Amino acid sequence: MDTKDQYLQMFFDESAEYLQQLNENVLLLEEHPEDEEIINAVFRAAHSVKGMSATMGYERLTDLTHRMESILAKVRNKEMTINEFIIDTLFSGLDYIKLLLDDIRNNGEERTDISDYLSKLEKILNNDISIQEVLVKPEKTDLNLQDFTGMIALTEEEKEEIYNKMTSNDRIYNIRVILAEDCLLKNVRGYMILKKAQELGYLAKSNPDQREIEDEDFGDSIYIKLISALKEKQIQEELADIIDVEQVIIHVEDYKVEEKAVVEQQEAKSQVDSIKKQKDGLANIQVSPTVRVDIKKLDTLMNMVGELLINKTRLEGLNIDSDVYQDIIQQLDRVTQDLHHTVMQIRMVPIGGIFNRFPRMVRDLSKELDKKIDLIIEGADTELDRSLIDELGDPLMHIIRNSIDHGIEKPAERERKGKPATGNILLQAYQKGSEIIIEVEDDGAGINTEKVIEKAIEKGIITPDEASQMEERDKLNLIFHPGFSTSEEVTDISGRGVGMDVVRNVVETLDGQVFVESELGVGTRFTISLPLTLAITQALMVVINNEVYAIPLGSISETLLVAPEEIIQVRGQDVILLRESTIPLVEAARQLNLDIEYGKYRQLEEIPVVIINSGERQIGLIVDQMLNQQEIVIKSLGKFLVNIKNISGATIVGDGDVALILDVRNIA
Amino acid sequence: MDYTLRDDLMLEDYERKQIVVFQLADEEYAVDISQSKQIIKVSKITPVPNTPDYVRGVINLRGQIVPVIDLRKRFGITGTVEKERIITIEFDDILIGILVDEIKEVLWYDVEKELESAPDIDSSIRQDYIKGVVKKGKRLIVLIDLEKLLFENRPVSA
Repeated sequence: MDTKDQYLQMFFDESAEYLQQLNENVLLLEEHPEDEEIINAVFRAAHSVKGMSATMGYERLTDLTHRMESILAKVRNKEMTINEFIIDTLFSGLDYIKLLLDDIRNNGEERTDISDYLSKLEKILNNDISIQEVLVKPEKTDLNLQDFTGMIALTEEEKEEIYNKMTSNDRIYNIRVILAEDCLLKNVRGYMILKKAQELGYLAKSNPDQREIEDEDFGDSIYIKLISALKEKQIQEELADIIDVEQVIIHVEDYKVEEKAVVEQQEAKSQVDSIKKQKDGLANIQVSPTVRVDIKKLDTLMNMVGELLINKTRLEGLNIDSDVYQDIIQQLDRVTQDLHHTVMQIRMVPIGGIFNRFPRMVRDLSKELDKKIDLIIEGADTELDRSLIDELGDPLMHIIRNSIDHGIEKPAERERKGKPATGNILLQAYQKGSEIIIEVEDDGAGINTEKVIEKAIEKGIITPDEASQMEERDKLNLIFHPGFSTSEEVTDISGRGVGMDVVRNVVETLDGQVFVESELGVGTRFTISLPLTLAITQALMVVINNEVYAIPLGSISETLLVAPEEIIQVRGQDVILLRESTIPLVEAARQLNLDIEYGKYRQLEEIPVVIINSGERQIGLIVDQMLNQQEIVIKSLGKFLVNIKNISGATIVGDGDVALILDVRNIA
Repeated sequence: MDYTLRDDLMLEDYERKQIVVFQLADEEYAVDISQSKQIIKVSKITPVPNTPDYVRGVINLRGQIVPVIDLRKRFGITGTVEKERIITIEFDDILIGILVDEIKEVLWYDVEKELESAPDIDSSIRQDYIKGVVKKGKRLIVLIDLEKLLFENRPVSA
């Protein structure tokens, strides 16, 4: 990757994050239009996007965010009040930002035409000429009047901490340092500015912060909140003296130290002195102790752990009779396990990353459909492997869209049914044993299984005869059948020709399962269960027709050796009785359509049977031989061999050969 | 400096391409060298159930699972040979091995003069899997359109 690409990637990553923040905060703003902290947060995020876009030379993005910022500035200065119109305008602005970002990602340049939108913003702004002038034509004199304190607003805690440290001589200076347009090495200049500020007093806050400065992730200005006993003029001169600084604007905050602080003046002063002396003072500015890592590097790391594990298994296979050998094996075992665990931990990210895109979607869709819907999110901090997160977004979106479109009724209809006019969708995630459960539950109309049946017959998925014999649950599951939902009758909302079968496919590729429960008139619940860790699992190795296969232990309930006498025939099906339940026997070779003679097991003295959990049923899978139990590294069969029936992947066994992993969930 | 300039000009004059030539039954076939990654000896191939018969199975190629396609089966050529080789091919990040009888050589050919498009030659394989035929004297080497061959009907079990 060359430097330009690296910066571009960083730009995409960060702008995506800011966009998400903006979406969340504008939603919050709609609920709390008076909350200044939210307005400031929106303002800051918009400003950051503007700064980044300007640095990268994307003019439309810069223009767009600049105008949005102007509107927000008016709101903040109480010259404009938040109403639905403004919120909608802001939201469509966010959509434009996304479109432009997509343009850049896909085509390398901005293509979306935003001129109409810009003139709309202009009209909104035009209601107050003076402000518009200040913002659109940033004359130097006007800049001095412009209020930028929002850029460096403090949280309540920060305020308390700083006010406590102040002496009566100290003043709070809000400083805007404007760099020359043609400034080279902006990050170095920025660093010099912060360093100088620290010499002059206590640097309470800066925007951009130190990391952003290092990354050159800022526009033309650095905003600083400085606590100092020095005179405004001296600070002005010292800062203006730095190379490439074009202008320094200082506003003095009229905060006075309270009585308490005056009494403790002596003490406080010494504190401030010591703070001033702190050499590593820069660390005071929010520097988060994290690194951003390309997910591909983590994948590589994970693969290497896999290789290590395979070799460890091979070493174990040597089985040398020596204490030293045993000791090494034990140590190696411990280290590889810890390593695996740690790598998995690193890959874990909160599921909130995908949950937080839904509030906006629910808002937009419910508005469009004239419905009232509250989306309740729980367990957003539940952690999941990063690779799962990326895949889950679309299935979840589809389920939620379905709930909005088909589940929740219109307010009037809900009231007729005696329900509250506002419908609820509960989206929650939690961990249950070694699985992650994600539920989408609505209190809407529920799924009418009669209608499902009608449609399934009409589509030729089942015959009326079959329908009459189906259990309620199986009827419901028809919605996952490919071809059940087709593009001809889906609405704008819940589909672009994709149905629930796509949801099920995606979830199953992730080694998970999806269930649906529904009660007519009460609501519907979709449950997705996913394995906590993907890459490495415990498996039972078995032999089927001279080939070794792995069956993940998670789907095995027990293993048995069955004598032929124990087999009973029920309606032509071999079954065994196990603790009073009847378990059908299924020959693995037949499931795999292997080209061999079936039924030979009946001649064995002991038949190896693996009892597996297939859905909610138990099935006895007949194999030729059961080998050992071991850790396996799950590998995909690649994009060429996809959706192979009853095979979910492959693993490499000790001798370097490939063993396929049996997917027993659909064995019947 | 003059020299390199002239070389460049010559390259523009007639385009040459490199191919890997292999034997399949009685005919010579080839794939573009830019698509081929490496040639490997056949070790243990693990069969994958519930796939079409031309999917011979999967192999472990330095920790990566790579599917192997039996070209004889894909083209409906009967019979087997002892010393098979696998050429690994890469398209859009997808690595696939194709099983051939024997690797013959790596050849340059002149796109203008030596390549003929979709001729009515007597080949065992379907016309639309053929990109063209490279003529080297009396030799006729069939250039295979691998992308079409492999991805037209992806092996997906019902």
